[in-house]
Amino acid sequence: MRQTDRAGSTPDSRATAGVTAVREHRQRLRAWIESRTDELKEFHGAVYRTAEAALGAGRLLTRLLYDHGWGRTGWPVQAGGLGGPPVLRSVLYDELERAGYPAPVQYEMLETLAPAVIRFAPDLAARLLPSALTGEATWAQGFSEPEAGSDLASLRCRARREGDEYVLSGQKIWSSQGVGATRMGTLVRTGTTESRHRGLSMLMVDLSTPGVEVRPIRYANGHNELAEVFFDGARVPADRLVGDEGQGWAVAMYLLQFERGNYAWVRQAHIGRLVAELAAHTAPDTPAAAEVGAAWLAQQALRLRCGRTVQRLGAGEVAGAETSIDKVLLGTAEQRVCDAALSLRRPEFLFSDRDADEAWRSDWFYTRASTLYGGTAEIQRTIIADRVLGLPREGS
Amino acid sequence: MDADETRLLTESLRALFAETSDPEGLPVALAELGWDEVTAEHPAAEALLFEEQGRARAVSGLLDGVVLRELGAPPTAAVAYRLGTGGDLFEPAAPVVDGTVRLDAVLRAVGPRASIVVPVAAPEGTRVLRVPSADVEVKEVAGLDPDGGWSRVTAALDPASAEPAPLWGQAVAAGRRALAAELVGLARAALELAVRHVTDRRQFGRPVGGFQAVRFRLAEVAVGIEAAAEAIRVAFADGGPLAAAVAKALAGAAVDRAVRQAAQVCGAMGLTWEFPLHEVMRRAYGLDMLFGDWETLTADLGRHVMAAGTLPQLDPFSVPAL
Ligand SMILES: Cc1cc2nc3c(=O)[nH]c(=O)nc-3n(C[C@H](O)[C@H](O)[C@H](O)COP(=O)(O)OP(=O)(O)OC[C@H]3O[C@@H](n4cnc5c(N)ncnc54)[C@H](O)[C@@H]3O)c2cc1C
Repeated sequence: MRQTDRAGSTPDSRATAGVTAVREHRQRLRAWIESRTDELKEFHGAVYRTAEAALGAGRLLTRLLYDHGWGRTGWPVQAGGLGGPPVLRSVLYDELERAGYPAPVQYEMLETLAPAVIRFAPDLAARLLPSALTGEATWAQGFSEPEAGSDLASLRCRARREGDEYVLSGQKIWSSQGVGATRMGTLVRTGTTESRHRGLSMLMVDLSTPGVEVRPIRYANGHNELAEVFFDGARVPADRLVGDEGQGWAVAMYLLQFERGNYAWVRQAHIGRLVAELAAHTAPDTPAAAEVGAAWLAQQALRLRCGRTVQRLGAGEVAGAETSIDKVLLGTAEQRVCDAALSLRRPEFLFSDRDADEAWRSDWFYTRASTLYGGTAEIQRTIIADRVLGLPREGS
Repeated sequence: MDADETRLLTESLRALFAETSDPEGLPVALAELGWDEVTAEHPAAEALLFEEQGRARAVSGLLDGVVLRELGAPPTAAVAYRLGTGGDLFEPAAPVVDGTVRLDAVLRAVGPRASIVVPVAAPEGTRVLRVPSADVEVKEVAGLDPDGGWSRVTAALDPASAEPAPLWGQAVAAGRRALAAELVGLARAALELAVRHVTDRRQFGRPVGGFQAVRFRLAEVAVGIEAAAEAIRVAFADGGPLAAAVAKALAGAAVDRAVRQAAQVCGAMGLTWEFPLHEVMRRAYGLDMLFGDWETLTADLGRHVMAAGTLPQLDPFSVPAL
């Protein structure tokens, strides 16, 4: 028996209607981008030599996209969006990069963090998301600590409840776009250290709060891509909790699905543009064809896989441990593409000061981290071995 | 198809391949299952059929059936799968050299066939020659895959009677999708053999599957398989030649990785005649060669995207997610 609802539509026909809606949105967006080359000129093919410049340009472009509605589509109405299926957001990043406009880096953090805030703290999302969608406020993620990298559940940054506030002391590190960020989704310990993942909570902390200090970390590409954040008695209102106190691990695990799916989608759009550049500027001899083909295939594999994950998460499905597959594909594809640039453009990659070549080098360094952030490639393989393949536990 | 339908179909197909060892009995068993109605409603169910065929390492003429159907040719012919490389990515065909078709191909047909369909790379586009089987020498060949039911045909043919074949590209795409699914089925078979082995086999007082080096190899295999499986899903929904070529390239790479890693983690046992891994390897490399092995396809796809004005991007959102 096929299921039909009252209007007589089947799950199949609804799914087809969804596909059509996405396609039509894509066509409208593409036409709009093509009609606005003047307005968008300053962003086309732009190369930013500092992280601050990239964030600044991202803020302007985010604002412009917000004003035209594209940057609000797919986000909930209650949180400043225009509603519609979340997958429409992914179409935006794809079409921007396809047309040669770097997608604002802000969206990477929003795609990672915002779904968890919307899900676990809808009221907070209604208060905080609108200013992020306009580009005015930028978000960062504060999970890692100096002593808690892969072993995230050992984190020690404390939040002690005092009345309607939490008092924070401790340190976070490696926060992407932490320099200049307005607020940070911060995973803190509200229970004892021994409680490991059971004693954690997540707070949206304004980085302008007294007792918070943000210091830039210069990344290997020379840019201030990262920040470390110190808390010394910083007071954060308890209504900044995402989920309940003690629910932080569940929130973090929910969030990591999006970091491995939605964030990966933004990145595949970006490296797709890099493959396009490589394809356009390399003489098609046989070794080059093999290299470009392998880079493109790796990007397509990532694209198809995380595209599906984006759809599933958008429809409210739980993808869980399966998203570790997306994350491994991300690391593989990002490094493949940038390694292809190193091997195919070696003289320029090594010895040219053109913007385009500095951009390749910067991306090459950045993509070395794609097998680290969001859980290292080793941690992802462990999750796949345990939870996808059901292999005997490590050391068992 | 929803998840339940997929599961039920997979189970029926697995049982069917387990019970039907005779290749010529397979079409009968499929007819009893009502397979034509299933694919009429869900064309993508073809992926399940080929995946199960791969997993079972079954030999059949199903691939020819798919190619001939798309070509609009009678199912009584056999398809010649060219062994050489070069030529058009989307329309592999035998080259014409000095006015003669140089055919070096393998057949996947089961049982006697009245004629052989030979795609020819003619200057004006792909054409198809229908050669009476009696006119050429078809030799059964053991090669790497003695149980694979392969035969090889080499011939020099006159292209004069070749007919235009505007549907050849479409037939190749359909064949590539089916082959990709079969290769993924083989990869899954290798992975399952390895998972079972490393779970049971103990050294140093514990299962070898508890060693990180072993676990990571198999996790890598799973990643390759799932990427290929996703590409197959998109290729069936998309229907086009590019998506089909991508699916086949990723599936070929996935099974190559799967059999290599499985061979390592299963130790000496994995490389014995009685352990079925070598059978998976044999079938996998044989099938990977049809319509372009994965390494050749990767380079050809590279050439294709370098020649394209705008970078081609397959669209995962063209397929309903659930
Ligand atoms: C560019 C960049 C951006 C980042 N952005 C953020 C951010 O925005 N927010 C945030 O919170 N964090 C961020 N991180 C931090 C990132 O999440 C951590 O780097 C990561 O979790 C690994 O921790 P670690 O660097 O301390 O390495 P370690 O945990 O010290 O690991 C070192 C090495 O040991 C391996 N290893 C560790 N444990 C195991 C094990 N059990 N089995 C096998 N191998 C193991 C690791 O895989 C790695 O290769 C970012 C990192 C980078 C490089």
